[in-house]
Amino acid sequence: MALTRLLKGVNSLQINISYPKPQKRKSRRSLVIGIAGNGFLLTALMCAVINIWSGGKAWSIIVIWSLYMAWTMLVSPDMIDYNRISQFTKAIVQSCILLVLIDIFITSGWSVNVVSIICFGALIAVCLLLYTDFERQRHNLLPMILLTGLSLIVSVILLITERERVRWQVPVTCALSFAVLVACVKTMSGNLKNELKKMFHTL
Amino acid sequence: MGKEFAMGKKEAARKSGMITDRKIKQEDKREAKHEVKQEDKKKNKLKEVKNRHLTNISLPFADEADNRKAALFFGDLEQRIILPRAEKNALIEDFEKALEFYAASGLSADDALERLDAKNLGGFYSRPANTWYALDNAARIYPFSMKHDYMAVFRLSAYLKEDVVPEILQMALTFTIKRFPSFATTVKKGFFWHYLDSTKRRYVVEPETGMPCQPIRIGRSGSQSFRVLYYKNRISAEFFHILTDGTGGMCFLKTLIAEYFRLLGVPSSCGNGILPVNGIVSPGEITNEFLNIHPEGAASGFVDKAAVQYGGKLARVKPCRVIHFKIDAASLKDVAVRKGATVTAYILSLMFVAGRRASDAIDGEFNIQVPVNMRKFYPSETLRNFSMYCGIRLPLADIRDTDALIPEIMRQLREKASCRAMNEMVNATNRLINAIRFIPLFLKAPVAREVYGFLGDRIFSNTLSNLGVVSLPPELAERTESMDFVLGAAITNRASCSMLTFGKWTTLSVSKNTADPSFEEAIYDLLCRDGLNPVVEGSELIAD
Repeated sequence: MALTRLLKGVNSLQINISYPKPQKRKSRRSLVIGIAGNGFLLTALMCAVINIWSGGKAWSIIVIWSLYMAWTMLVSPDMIDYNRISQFTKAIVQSCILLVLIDIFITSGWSVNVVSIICFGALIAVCLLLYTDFERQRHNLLPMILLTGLSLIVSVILLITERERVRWQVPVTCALSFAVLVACVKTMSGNLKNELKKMFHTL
Repeated sequence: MGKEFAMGKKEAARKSGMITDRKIKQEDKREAKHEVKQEDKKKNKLKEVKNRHLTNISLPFADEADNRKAALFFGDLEQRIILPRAEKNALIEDFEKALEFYAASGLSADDALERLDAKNLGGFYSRPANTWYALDNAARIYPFSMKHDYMAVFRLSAYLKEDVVPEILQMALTFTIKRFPSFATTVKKGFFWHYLDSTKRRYVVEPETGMPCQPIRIGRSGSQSFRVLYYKNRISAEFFHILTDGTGGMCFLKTLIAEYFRLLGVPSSCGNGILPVNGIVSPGEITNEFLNIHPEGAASGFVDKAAVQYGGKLARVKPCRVIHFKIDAASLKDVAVRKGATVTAYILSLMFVAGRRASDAIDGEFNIQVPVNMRKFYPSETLRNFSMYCGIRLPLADIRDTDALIPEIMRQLREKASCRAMNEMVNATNRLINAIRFIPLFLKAPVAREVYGFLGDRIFSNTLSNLGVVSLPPELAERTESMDFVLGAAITNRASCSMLTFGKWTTLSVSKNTADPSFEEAIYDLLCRDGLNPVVEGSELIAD
């Protein structure tokens, strides 16, 4: 019986196709990530080694941070919450960190005021991003609140601790941050408790 | 007429010397301004009207009275939808297409309008989205385990006896989605955890074009985390596991099918996993049941040693092939009973032996993951994830004949899928979540991603998820040919298996991650050897 079946070819696996012919996938991102990942790692490692070997200022940290920025913004972007407000705030925060690193490791004394200018410009821009597509973007408030909160806290600390060094930019950023925070709260008005609970829930 | 009259009056006044030329010029200017304003107003009014009827609704009925009823219907519909204009128009167009289908199939206007009654929308599209849902404990890992080419997606499909009508399926989804509020959501990042944010949008059905269980793009604002697809006579729902498990997903599919058939004029009874689409959502349906059970005792179950993987190069597109073995359910049960096994244990024994043939490894252990439905131990109506898993582990050296493996598999299933073992795993999950709950997401995510990337699914060789027997009310069952359940591909496992039984068929589905056909060929041989001779269907292989 088994032999007959075998001879008739019943035992060979014949698959009836019940799915549409798969289209060739357009996305090559995983391939790019695979190839670029090694390149980025190698570059970062080489920079660190050369920097340690040659001595001097720690420029490799700036390169490594820039590579990280390029990686998270371009090569492997967020898969969740990929919207204009989150991407913009991410770019701003990462750029500010880069500037602070340059200030610390290369040439110092300028970043406080420059970062403040970037921050208050960013706060205005992020408000524009919110209010030009309010219905959709009102669900993306968290990055905006975090950017605003961060710039408010940092500028208040700077105003207290570095009163001699700071110029007009820092108080302006401080005031603007406060205003934007108020705007965010107003956006959530009537639902503030629920919105905050949603953003900061722990369980 | 009014303008001419005013001109005449002005001329007469000038002639009589009552007003000067300068005054007339000023008045002309004022009038011109007024005219421009009036014209602008007219334009705006026209725009408003256009906005209200952007879809340019064509009324499909031959009788003028019927078309008047349809026009009233659309007027009512418009007031119930507060979506952005494009979405609103698309939604109204869906109604229009469904009406066209009804008109073409000769249904009376009254019946058609009754089936599509705008009341079926409930208040879903007339209220802004303000609710949100914290992830259940089992779902918390899924956002961390995502990659650009990998996502925990599973698919449930129903094969009807006739081809699917896309227009009606779209309407069925539109009416069904409101009953599943935790599905009508977008995955978002909170400060400490991800969450599901309620999203009001037109949820779309799509024609099936690619491989099953491909990653769903959930990043954009308002993205949906599931998809409903159709192909010939098949309706499929694919879910990101963050939303639900197999039981919740099946409830959604069954409700969608029931609504689809209602719209086609075949009403069915609710219950047995079919929810009334216009019913009120019960809090129990959206609850995170893991928080409601407080098992005492030890915590264990996550960490294990790496298992042997099947051979074959990992495909770039995952899964690269899906295969369904359709087996006569009664015969399968008979064979399992004859061997002193449950159906799950019997299929597991086949998988171990088939895995042995699909691997070149000589020593080590195979470990097959078996999801366990927690509703068995803690009855619940939740539609969220409420399942855990266990691993059935056997050394390669012991794997020779299926029959010899069954007693050990049965023993391990009894022990490892027991309530006590599951409680230990729930304990471990709850403790882990509690330990990291106050760590911000931007710190937690990279660490979790690395840990998951390192461990991943390496502790398992394969998975067998058995949804069990699925039933539909007789009026729907007689119009449904079969159903199947497909697991999305894993990261390193070369195959993932899933099964369910509907009517006279048990369908064992295999998602492949490698072109090497050894595993499925061995499964087929073993089934044939036991006299089960399955009908085999599936997709084409995507070669790299």
